[in-house]
Amino acid sequence: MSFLYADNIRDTSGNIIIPSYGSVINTSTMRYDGRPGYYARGWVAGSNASTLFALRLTANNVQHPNNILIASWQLQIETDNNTTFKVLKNGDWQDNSFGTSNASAPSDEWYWKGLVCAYHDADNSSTPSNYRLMFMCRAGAVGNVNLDVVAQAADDGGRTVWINRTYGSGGQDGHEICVCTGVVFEIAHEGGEGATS
Amino acid sequence: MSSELRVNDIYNLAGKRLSASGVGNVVSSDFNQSCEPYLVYTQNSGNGTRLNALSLTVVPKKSSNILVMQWVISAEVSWNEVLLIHRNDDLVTDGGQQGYNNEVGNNRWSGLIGGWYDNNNDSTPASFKLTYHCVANTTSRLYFSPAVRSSQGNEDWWRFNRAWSSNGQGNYERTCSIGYLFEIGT
Repeated sequence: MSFLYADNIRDTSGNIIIPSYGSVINTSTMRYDGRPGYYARGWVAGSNASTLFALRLTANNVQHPNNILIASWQLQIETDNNTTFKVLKNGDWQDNSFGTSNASAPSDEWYWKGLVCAYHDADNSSTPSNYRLMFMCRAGAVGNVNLDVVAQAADDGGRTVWINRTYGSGGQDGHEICVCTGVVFEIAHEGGEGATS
Repeated sequence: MSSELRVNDIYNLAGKRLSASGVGNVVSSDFNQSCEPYLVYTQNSGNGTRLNALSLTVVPKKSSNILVMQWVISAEVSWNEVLLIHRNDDLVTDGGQQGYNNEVGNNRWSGLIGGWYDNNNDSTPASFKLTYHCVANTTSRLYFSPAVRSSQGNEDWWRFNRAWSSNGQGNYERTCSIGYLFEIGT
């Protein structure tokens, strides 16, 4: 086993090829082909959202809690408009998931805030929509860090969020069946020095 | 003249590990962008029509490495369409890595993503976000291309990087499509 310690590694022309911070040091992926429906509720105190556990994206073997995670999901979903999507990190609400400075206490305003919202398109029966959900955060831990997509109705009602399928059918002519995927990059970032593994 | 340094793990001077034998690191990449407007006819059978202008190429450094690809594709088309993934000019059918939904199989309504049911198919193209990843399974040259297929009885045209009725004018947007591939060490 051999180890190299250096701040920057350069090629023989002097160009930095591995910087001390900023490079991708870890990558994890997910793919989901199933076709479940999740019921996304609106504001109900103490029980106000639905975690889409099938779309969990786990950053594996995170090297340092101060490193940055950049996650993106390809979502194929059919649901009504008035639905928001947010992200949980290891089961905790994240401030930057819905534009609040205080994610520590549930709020009755959360239901209409999110990273992205469902489209107000022309059909909610036979054609799912295509979303790119992106999320960035400090890892906050080493080892495995779970990132979950949460769906919530943006009104005081509720609705089904169909994954990879249409509302009207689990697969037939004109009713597209698709795939959800996700990728998370761990980026070396300054702060909290010291190897942890 | 090339030089080579062989090492297992790389740390910065503060002790933060940057590489553990390359596992998780981006070890190679490819990029492609297409801004030219073009038309593609989609059939309602077969394995889809390739978008060769958006192909991404890699010569994997290791057979077990992971390949991650993302595209943003601008196009105007009706809603009854799906996008698939081809590898070296064939639909990917490898178990767990199919270029379509593997639960329903290779039906014409099965893809990685589908068309938009928006309110206009004439003057405003839509943006499709496509992500695909797989194991390289070879160290020979690979190239990956999105492909399009009609999901129902009627066949159709895709108009890429342009609106349906115009190749570019006021209110008829001209756009670009772009993609990248990262090879991830394992």
